[in-house]
Amino acid sequence: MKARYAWAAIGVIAVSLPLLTSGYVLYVCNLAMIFAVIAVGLNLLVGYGGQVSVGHAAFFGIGAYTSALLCVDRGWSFWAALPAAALVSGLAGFLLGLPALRLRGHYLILVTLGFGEIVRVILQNWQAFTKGPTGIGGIPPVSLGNFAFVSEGRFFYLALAFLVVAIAVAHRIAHSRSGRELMSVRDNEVAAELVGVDTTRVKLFAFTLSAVFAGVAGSLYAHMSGFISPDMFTFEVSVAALVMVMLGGPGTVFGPVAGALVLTALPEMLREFKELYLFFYGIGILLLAVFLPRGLAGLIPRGARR
Amino acid sequence: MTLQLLLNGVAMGCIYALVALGFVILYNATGIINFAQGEIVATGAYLCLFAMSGLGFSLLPALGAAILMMLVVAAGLFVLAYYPLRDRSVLVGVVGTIGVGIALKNLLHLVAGPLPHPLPSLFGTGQVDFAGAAMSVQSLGIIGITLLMFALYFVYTHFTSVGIRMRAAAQDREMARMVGIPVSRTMCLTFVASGLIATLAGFLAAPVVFISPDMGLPLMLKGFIAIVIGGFGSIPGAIVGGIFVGVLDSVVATYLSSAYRDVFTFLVLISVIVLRPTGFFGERVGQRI
Amino acid sequence: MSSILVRFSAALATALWLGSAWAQPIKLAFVMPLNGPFAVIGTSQLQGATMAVEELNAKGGVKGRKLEVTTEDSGASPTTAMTALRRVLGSEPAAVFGPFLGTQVLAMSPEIQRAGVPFLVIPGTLKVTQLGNPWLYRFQVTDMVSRKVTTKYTIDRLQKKKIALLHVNDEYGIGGRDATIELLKKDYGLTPVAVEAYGSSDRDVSAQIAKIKSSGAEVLHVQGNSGDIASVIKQLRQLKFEGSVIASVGLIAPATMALLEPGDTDGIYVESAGMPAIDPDPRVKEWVKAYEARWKRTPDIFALQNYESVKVLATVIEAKGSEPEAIRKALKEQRYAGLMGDVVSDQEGNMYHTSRIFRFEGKTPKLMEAIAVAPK
Repeated sequence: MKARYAWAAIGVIAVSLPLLTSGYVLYVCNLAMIFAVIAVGLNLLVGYGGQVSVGHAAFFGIGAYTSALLCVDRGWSFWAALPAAALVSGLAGFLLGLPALRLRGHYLILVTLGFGEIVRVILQNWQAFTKGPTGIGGIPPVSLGNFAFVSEGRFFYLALAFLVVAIAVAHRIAHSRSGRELMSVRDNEVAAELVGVDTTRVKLFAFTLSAVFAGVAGSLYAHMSGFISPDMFTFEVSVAALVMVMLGGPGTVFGPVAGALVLTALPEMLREFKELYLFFYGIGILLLAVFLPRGLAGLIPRGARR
Repeated sequence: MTLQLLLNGVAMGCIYALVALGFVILYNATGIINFAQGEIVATGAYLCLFAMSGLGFSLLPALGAAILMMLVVAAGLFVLAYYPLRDRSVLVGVVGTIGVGIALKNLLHLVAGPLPHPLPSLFGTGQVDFAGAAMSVQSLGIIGITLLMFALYFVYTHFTSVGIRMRAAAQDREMARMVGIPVSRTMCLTFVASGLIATLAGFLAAPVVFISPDMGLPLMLKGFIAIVIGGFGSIPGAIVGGIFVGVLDSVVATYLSSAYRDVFTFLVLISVIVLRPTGFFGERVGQRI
Repeated sequence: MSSILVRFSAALATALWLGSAWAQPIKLAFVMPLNGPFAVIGTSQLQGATMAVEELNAKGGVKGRKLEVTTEDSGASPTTAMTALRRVLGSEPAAVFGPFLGTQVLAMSPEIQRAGVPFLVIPGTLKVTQLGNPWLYRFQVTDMVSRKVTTKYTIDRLQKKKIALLHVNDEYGIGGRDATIELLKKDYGLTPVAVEAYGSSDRDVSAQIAKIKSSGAEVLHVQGNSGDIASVIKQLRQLKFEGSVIASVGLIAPATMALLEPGDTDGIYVESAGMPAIDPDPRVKEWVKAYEARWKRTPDIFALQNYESVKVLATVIEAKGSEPEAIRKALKEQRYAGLMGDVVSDQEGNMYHTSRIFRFEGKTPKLMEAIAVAPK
């Protein structure tokens, strides 16, 4: 019962936020929600499936560039570019996962690491296609007929809608048969195989889906910011996504959202002290790994957690 | 020109091999994939810089001083981070060492500033003529020192009691414990050795890449590729893989495309993982469960 | 009756508004790289601009109003620059002084155009003034001038025709490469004997240098950023490139020079709008002394250019007021006698039109020639 009131309160605050703050703060919230979408998707792979990827910024970037190029070079609208972005990132995830997921965990780490770097280098150097380090500017904002989601406030609702959908999808999957299969792979892959779970198929499903989420987030980011460049899709961003999942609580539905909020807001608030902040961020991650491997969700007593 | 190119590639490859070596011996001992290896190399380089400009040593004594300082730093890191992380899940180990890496990198940034610093080369900038090609003494020196290092490590782990214990503990921790080897202390020793090797790698790399807080990541990435090609967990694999990566990088840059050299090297990484994950020398036997 | 009341209130309101505007400070925004690999030049920018602000405020400000500055760190990438810009636009500045990095300025340009705020920047990257942004003014020689001067010096002074290009693989380098190739063809009927590129984070350019050497080049034009050009110069020396080298201005950044030995730079030419520290002009010497007294370091050209950009803005505001549109138009027409030559806008918003070639003896630069290019 109490949980319901809490959710209602959060819902009310969330919806009325644009009326209470403005401009830069809203921009940070929007950014946080976009990252939350990535984190929620990544969580399926990492939290529920126990597979580690350190290259998801690549899918974020693929989604962003696909959407940006289609809109800027070919005049597509966001609503057509978005599914294209999701498709391309998903395809990339599928093709990458196909060979990589057959192998032991730490190979996936290296493959995703390598893939992340490959994508970054290509984005940076394929000047003819991606405009290189200069990036792509003038990406049109999302619009619905005559209504353009130009201001931060308007975009807030759009991002919120997408986040809610993402959470709902993740929630469904987590509580479905696929979700259980995923968790069985995480807990003991050998045993899962023995019980008849097609572990490779399940892992591939999670990997592809997480790539799709990241691609969608990328498209959203491109249209929110109006400008993208390769420096936004680096190893550091992949790490941040992973830490968001771990911070909030891998294998919980809302954990990654909390993680995304904290990890997006904190660096912005502490931007004056950038290196100092990053130093403590690194230490924080270490402490998280050592003491709180279940993330913040690990602090909530078992019974109350969903 | 080709000989020069090859030599250059081998020299860089030796640096990657050293990075890989430090990584491999740690992995074998603790099962941890150390995402901070690059930063530890960078720390080693900065310690050399500090020994020179802060403490006034000349080049070679500076390396010695840096190694001594690294002993302390590595021991500290082991106690604070690597020992607690030693048996955790892959995710936790990766994230934890990434955290160490980020903390180290930004500590270096805070202390030394973002700008790159040069470090003179131990071997100077001279050249030797051989078979009509001008070969840089520096490249030869790097190759020589690396081979020496690997040889030293081999001798140490096969012919000294401490070293043999390190090897035993790496191969099978439980067994080692049962025969009375102080496993935790041995792991610490291994980690410290890893740090010392990283310092050497930093010392050799600094004249080429310049010392900066960002110098770690590219070196670590190449080191990873070296390990996969050579065989995850294999020490001879580290040097073979490292040299392979160095030469490949050089060749691709010259004959294919300088801009996309990294893409090719990473494609090789992915191909090797997919087609022959055990690399040249195969993965070590015995799955870590 | 009510109409009198309305008119009176309107008059009162206007008076109050005018009065408050009178006392209100003029807000300026500085968005420059203050952290990260470009921090040294960014700091030069900041120091030059701040010195100008302090001088103006000491004399009572501009039109009786003090200058108030908001500073944000533009970081090392276009993305961080955009975020910094968003933050400062919130404070509604009269003008924004931007970074020297072309990639950052290119990213910020559409947003600035949307906001309608004068944008005074100092990158050389050609494309910066080709975007058609009427608010953007470049207080630097555009790369077209740099390339013209470099090419002219090579062919007319050094009398060499076999030219190779080595450029960094970003908009700055690529724009420069294309400009040079076109210049060589149109003005001299020549093509470069080799064109090589390197990534800005590449430290090893030996492959590229090897190719350049085997092309028989007599002169090499190196175009890179302050953060990456040092290794190139070092390796050119190590690999014993025999020809002459003319480097782009990034080489003279203090942090870059600190990485090089006298043996590395000896005999190398560099192209720059100027080098205040060695300039013989007594006015420049005076400025250099004032800068050194204030900041305890030697000023570079970037500090000077940012200093002048603030001074020019002040002159414009003094003449035409601080409304953005007024500033924009005035900048288009104003002529200002700068320390390195006349500062006047051409059609694209480029303000500087004279560049100079220097030659290093050890690590000391000497002026070889100043070449002016007529503004269009």
